[in-house]
Amino acid sequence: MNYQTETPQASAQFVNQSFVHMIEAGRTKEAADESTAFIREIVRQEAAVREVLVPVGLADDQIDRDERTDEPKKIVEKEPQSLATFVEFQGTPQAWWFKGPRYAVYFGKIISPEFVKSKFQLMTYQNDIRKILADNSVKDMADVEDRFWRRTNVLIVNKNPGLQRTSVPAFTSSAFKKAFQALLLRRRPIGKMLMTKSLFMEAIDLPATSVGNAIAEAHYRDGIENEERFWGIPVISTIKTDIYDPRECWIYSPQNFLGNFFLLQDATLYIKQEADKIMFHTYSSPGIGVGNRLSLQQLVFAAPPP
Amino acid sequence: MKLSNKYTPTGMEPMPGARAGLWLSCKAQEVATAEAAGVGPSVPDDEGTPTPGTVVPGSLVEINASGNLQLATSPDWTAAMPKMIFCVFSGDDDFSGSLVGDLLCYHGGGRLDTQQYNPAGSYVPGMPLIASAGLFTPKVAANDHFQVIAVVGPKGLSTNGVLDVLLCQGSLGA
Repeated sequence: MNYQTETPQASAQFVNQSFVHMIEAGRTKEAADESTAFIREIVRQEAAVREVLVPVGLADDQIDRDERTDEPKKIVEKEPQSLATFVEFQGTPQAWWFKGPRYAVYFGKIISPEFVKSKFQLMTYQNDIRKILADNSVKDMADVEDRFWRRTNVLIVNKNPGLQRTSVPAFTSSAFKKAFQALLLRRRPIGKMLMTKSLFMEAIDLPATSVGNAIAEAHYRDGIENEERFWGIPVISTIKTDIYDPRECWIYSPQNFLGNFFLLQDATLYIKQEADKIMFHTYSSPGIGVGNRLSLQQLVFAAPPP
Repeated sequence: MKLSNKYTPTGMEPMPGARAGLWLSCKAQEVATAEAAGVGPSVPDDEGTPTPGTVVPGSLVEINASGNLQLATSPDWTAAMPKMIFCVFSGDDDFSGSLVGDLLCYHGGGRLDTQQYNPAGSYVPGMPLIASAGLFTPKVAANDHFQVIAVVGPKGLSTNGVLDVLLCQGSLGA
């Protein structure tokens, strides 16, 4: 009796090439680009944290080792403290044995479930369900990055809420001014803001007496989707209201005042076939650290947008 | 299976070397407590490095009412309900665990070498073991009604301070 032989190599070819290529493109691909007849359930989005901290891939020789463990870490050097003083003409300097502080960025692994299906059941799907699952799982991994980033932010603010949490009643210019000033009073520059799109929409209500006729008119005429800055500060808006509280806005210093985002490996698809079973999952290994705890400010509004 | 059926098996894959029945990745209670306080395990210290936790591999944990993992203690079955007790595979004491704040643990059966036992006890192969504050501990009396979760393996307690443990699934009784 004749029979077909399938090898793991051949099975990768069995899965259509665009599926694999899409994963190689990784998270740069937008869900909207996908041509599919599937009815979408929720909007998925790239990781907002990647707009706050630009990810940097690390090679093997850039990882720092530790004699007590085989887990990887990356040690980041921080700016050493220095000072100057006024003296009279005969004055001489003190000896200053300087040292530069450091902090370590540790790594974890983000994984999707292992998606498993019989290829015979797959035949009943007219759309490429594997492609959708892989694409969405990469964005689900982006959600995990955002969830971790917000958790880290909250942990930092929880230690110092009197200084780093600005509570205000409403979305007004003076509310933002108060939070900006909190950062500036600590001699931290203002880099970017991060908030949910639903909170971002509150800007529509900013009155002409506050933002000027031209801006208020433009918001009325065109909406605020094209707005990239508030008061000159770049705004990152995210749809992820289940991760970022719709009542909060995060204000960050530029990345070199804030922290690091390293990648041991960016989102990767692993796929295999055993007999009729097709299995695939995605994984990545990021490490995110905030080396300057005082370089972020949480702005909390009294009520969430309706 | 009908597409409207919500049945989904969700267990995690067994790991080579510890092919136990059920694996669980879950937040440690000490991390949850530290998150609220802004200081402690998994929280970045003043320089920004995540603080290590105290739960180490080979110790025993249970799920508390908050859905987090805490060090396990065998219940007295005459006074308390039985518990499902897990063994920690990766703790929050190391770099990755400190960062993530989750413990990876498994529920038997399985066999393991561990340093997480009560040093005050004496260990004989085949002896039933209970959990006490996360440590494997000898069951002292047959009628103490503490839940047995393992027995000492054939190698017993090695001279290098490692206990051979056979972890049972569920419980061997109390």
